[in-house]
Amino acid sequence: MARHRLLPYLSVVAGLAVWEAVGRFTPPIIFSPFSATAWQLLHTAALPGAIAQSLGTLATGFLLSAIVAVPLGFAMGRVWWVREMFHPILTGLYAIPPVAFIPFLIVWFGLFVESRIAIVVIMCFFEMLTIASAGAATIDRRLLDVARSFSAPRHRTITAVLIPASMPFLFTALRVGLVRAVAGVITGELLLSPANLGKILVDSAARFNTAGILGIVATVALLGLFVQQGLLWLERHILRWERP
Amino acid sequence: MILLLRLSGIAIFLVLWEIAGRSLGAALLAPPSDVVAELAKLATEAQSRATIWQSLAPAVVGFAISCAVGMPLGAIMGRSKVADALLHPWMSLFVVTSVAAIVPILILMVGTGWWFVVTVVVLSSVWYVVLTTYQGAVRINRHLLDVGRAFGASRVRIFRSVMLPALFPYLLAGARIGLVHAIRSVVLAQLFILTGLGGLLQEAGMDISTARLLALLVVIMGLGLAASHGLGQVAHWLAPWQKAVDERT
Repeated sequence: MARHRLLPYLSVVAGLAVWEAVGRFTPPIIFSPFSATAWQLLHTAALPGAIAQSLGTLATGFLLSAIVAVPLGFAMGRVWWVREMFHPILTGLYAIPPVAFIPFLIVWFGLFVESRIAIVVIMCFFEMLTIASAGAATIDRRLLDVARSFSAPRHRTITAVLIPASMPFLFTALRVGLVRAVAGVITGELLLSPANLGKILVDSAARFNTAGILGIVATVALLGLFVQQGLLWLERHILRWERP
Repeated sequence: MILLLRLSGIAIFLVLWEIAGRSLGAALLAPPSDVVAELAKLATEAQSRATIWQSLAPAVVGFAISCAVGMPLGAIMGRSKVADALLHPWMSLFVVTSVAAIVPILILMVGTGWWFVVTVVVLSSVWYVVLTTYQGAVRINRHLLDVGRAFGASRVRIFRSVMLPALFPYLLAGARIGLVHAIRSVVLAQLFILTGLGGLLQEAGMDISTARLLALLVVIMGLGLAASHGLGQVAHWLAPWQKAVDERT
């Protein structure tokens, strides 16, 4: 068992070694080794500021999206006529790739921060909505029946049964949404007027500075991993009763 | 009754859109009546039709590559602890990495040709195929495998008669999610290099009226719906006894 626990770390180290080796044998104009990338990343003065700005966009867009998506998803899961009314339209809208809205967003919100927030909102909205509605639809009926047989008042049923029963899937919805939101931030920063992390990326690409590009790619990847693991951690701490 | 509700939902949406479109003006939000007219016009333009069809080719090729690579990989990860331990950290990293971020370096590596779009499609869809197949492979019922083994079935036979049927719903779900991401990423890739659908969208964005832009969005929506519906039909035809699994992993 201990062997399997060690393997993931070994795999990560081996992967970085392969990256280093491949980077050394390819011309720097196409690909850079890990060491050069890390070096470049440490010497990008604008990086902390850019990350902070990107996180600001991320948080704003994500919160705006969640405020609408979670209650609507909940209503769709619990109230059948709401589900039947919204379902066809939302399926249709969901089939449109979020990036396809970009030219439209430019018309509405311009090229700067408002548009970037809008793309984040669209990117994570439907994922959160689907998960919230599917989760709300599968809340155990028996739990609600217990509340009813003890003739709990409506607000008690909500606070004591519905909310705790919804926590697990709400966390899943928020986690999946947040990862999508990270993707939305970088997409917006690249495809609209380049800004923050996207600007560093575009500038590096313009100078064929592959170390700079890979550094930002790694930053974005780690950011995604970090928010995902952070929410998982939070979920385990808040939802202690869910653990076996 | 349900059909009525659904239709009324769509009708209310269209009416609200029409009212909003009329009051905001076509420059901000073209009303559906304009969009339908624009759709009809789009259908008569041979050039645009050809562009849209050609945009689908890299999506299909990339999606096929994703399935061919992702399904075996996911099955192996699900059945082998070592492969799982080795590959899982990378899969979790890649699945959360936005493809948009890799586009600039891909342009340096593979240029901006046809294969660029295919590469973007593969890199954005393959992880979903792998991870969904993995979920299925992990959940294969041990007892079923034991029955196979108890009757002395060969490994090939166990794979064909036990594992494959058990995996099927997950393969299907993986293919579906993969296809959704394939179509999304084609548009993403083409928006970067301004060809195909991306080029059309960009051009339409320059128009004074948003009718053409919205018409293109409707076309893309239709393609997406048709693709995922078509896949469902194919699956039903291949294995009518199977129910689709929940697509969220």
